[in-house]
Amino acid sequence: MKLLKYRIMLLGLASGFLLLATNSFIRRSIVESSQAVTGTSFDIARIRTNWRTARIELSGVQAADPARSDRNLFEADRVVLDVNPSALLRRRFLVERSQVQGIRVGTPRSAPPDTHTKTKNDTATKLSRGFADRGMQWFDILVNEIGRGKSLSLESVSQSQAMCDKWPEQCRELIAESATLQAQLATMEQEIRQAGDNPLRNLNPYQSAATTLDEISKQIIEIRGEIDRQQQQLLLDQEQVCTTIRNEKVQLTTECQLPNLDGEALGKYLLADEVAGQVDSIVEWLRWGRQFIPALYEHAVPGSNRGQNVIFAGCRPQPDILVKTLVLSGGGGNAGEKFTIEGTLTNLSNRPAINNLPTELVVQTTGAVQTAIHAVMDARGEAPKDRIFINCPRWIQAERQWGNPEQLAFIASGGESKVSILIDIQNNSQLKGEVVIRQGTIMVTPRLNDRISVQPLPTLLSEACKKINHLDVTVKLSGSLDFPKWELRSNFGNELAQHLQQTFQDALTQQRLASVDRDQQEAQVAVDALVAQISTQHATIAKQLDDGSDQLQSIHDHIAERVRQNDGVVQPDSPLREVYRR
Amino acid sequence: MPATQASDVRHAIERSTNLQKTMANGIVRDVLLTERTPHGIALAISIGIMIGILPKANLVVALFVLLLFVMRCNLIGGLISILVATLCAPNFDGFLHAIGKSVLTFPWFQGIYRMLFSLPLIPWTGLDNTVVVGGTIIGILQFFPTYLLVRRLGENQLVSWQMTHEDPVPE
Repeated sequence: MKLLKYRIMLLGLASGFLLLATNSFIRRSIVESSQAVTGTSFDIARIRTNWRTARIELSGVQAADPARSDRNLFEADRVVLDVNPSALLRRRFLVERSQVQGIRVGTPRSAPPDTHTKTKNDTATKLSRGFADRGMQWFDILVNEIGRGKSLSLESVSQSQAMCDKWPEQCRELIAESATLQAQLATMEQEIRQAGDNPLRNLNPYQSAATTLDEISKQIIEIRGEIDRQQQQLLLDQEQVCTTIRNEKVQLTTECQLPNLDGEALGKYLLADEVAGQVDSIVEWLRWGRQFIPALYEHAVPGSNRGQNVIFAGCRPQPDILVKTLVLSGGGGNAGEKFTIEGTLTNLSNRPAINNLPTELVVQTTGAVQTAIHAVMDARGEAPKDRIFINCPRWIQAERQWGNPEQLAFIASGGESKVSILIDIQNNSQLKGEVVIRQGTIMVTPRLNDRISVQPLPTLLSEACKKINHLDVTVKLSGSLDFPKWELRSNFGNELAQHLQQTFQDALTQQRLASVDRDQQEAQVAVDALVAQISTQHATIAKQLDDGSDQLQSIHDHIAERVRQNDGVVQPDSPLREVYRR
Repeated sequence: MPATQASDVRHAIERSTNLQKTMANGIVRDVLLTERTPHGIALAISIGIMIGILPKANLVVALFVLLLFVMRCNLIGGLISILVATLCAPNFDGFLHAIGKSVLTFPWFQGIYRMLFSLPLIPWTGLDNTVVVGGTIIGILQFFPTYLLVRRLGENQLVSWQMTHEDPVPE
């Protein structure tokens, strides 16, 4: 009897110890199962179990944010679970109604740093990478065009240059020829004068002068002809330069067309990172949920580590854990403004695939952020279906940056936005949905890298950006959870493209025309000056030729006069003739 | 601190340590090391094997443990046999599962099972698990042969002990 007493005492002690360890056991079970389900660190500061009322109270509940280990995904002050004792006797953890009080979202993490979080695939950059180059090509072209405008080579300038090189040379040749003629005339005149007035005594100079006179006379005629020809050619060249200038203006107006900026591509390029981040985050959450709780979507009855639990004929499998209604209440903050959270989570179970009803979450936030969330996770049937609808008519957006700061970026002002998300997941992982973001008032400021910050680019960008005053973004989701596809449409890209195209086109045309005008004017002035200069020189040569002709005539007359005197001497009735006759 | 006070503290610690040792010795001697008869050892080993081969988190195991504690049997023998059987049991899970499954899916018993499992506490027995049912059946079936075999071996050992020692085996 003494032995039995001792043993019963030992058994009692062991049972008492087990009872005392129940809280630790329940806490560990909840933490481990939550961590297994959420894949993130889960902490419970305190747990209290009341066996008489079958109530479990958890306090200081924290779930780490999978994206940031120093923040909580959510935090709850108190979770009260009223367990159905009758169901508990039948090995079912049935909670008819429970409450989660003091929910706070995105709070700093006071528990030890998260070590459980599984790394999410960062597909945001992967999704947006393809857009970046396409959008930037246009700006590269633009910068090149603006740079090119400064060093444009014009045909008219080349022609003007060629004229300036050619005509003075030709004119110099004429001047040289004219000078040679004058020198010849001077020499001849001197020889004639030296020969004296009697040609009979110096016949030779007179004979050679007569021959030379003819040659010089011919050369003068030739030079005159050349001057006329050059005058005509000069005018023709001048006319050609003028024609080229006119053609160039027409040609530049048509040629100076920027390639069409693809608004869609620009929008994708600029917004892809931001939108991809949000979309990717949503998809990642969904995928993450499906990844970590695949067993919830299976219909097979789970067994323990050993053996298999048999469902008897006529019995319907039921989940071991079922929370019929979980009332949520709490608050949070967004961009420094507070909001309150109220909602209910119904039919939450560890085996939704075999539960009668789908799990449904209805959450409403009021205050600074007004959001309605309605999520239905229906794991029943062959193909589980999830549907999530989030409507946030007043979301405070912070200032953000779009584009690549190394090249061209835009700073978008913060403000109130309307966000609406509807996502359907069918046939296990087929994704279909739409994300709509609308910011009623927005101010966009461009930020150019110094490398491409060439005036007037920054000013023009600012002007184009000022014309955009709202933002509409629509993202269509498709594909699967593992390989999501999405198509982005926004007014921003199209409007910015339109304004940029127009502004840049005008500016580029003006810049080109101004540059061309300047060059052409210079060319025109140079040609006019050349024509004037050459004409003057031609006139001078002509004058010299006239003088030469006069001189030539004078020599000719002089010779003729002398030769006529000789003729008089030898006339038939002259005494000299009689002398020669004798 | 004066020398007398230090001595008192030392004596108090020694007394406390001696008391703990006495209690531990008492528990080991009076609770665990009792019933060293062939019957006590055989009973403990038979119950220990029954417990050892079963998955542990269920009421059947709790009942068998209670049985082990209330029966006049050798607890050390029982605990050692539980440990050994627990280590060996997973090797026989396939066999236990087959037996349990054939019993649990037997059509004639479905109504009874259904009725039983609608009662409170019965689901906690884990008797809807194939290995629990198979283990329970094998445990019960092995009980008497194991008991008889171990008892016979124990008695033979006892006879040989008495033949080689003059003093009787201490109770």
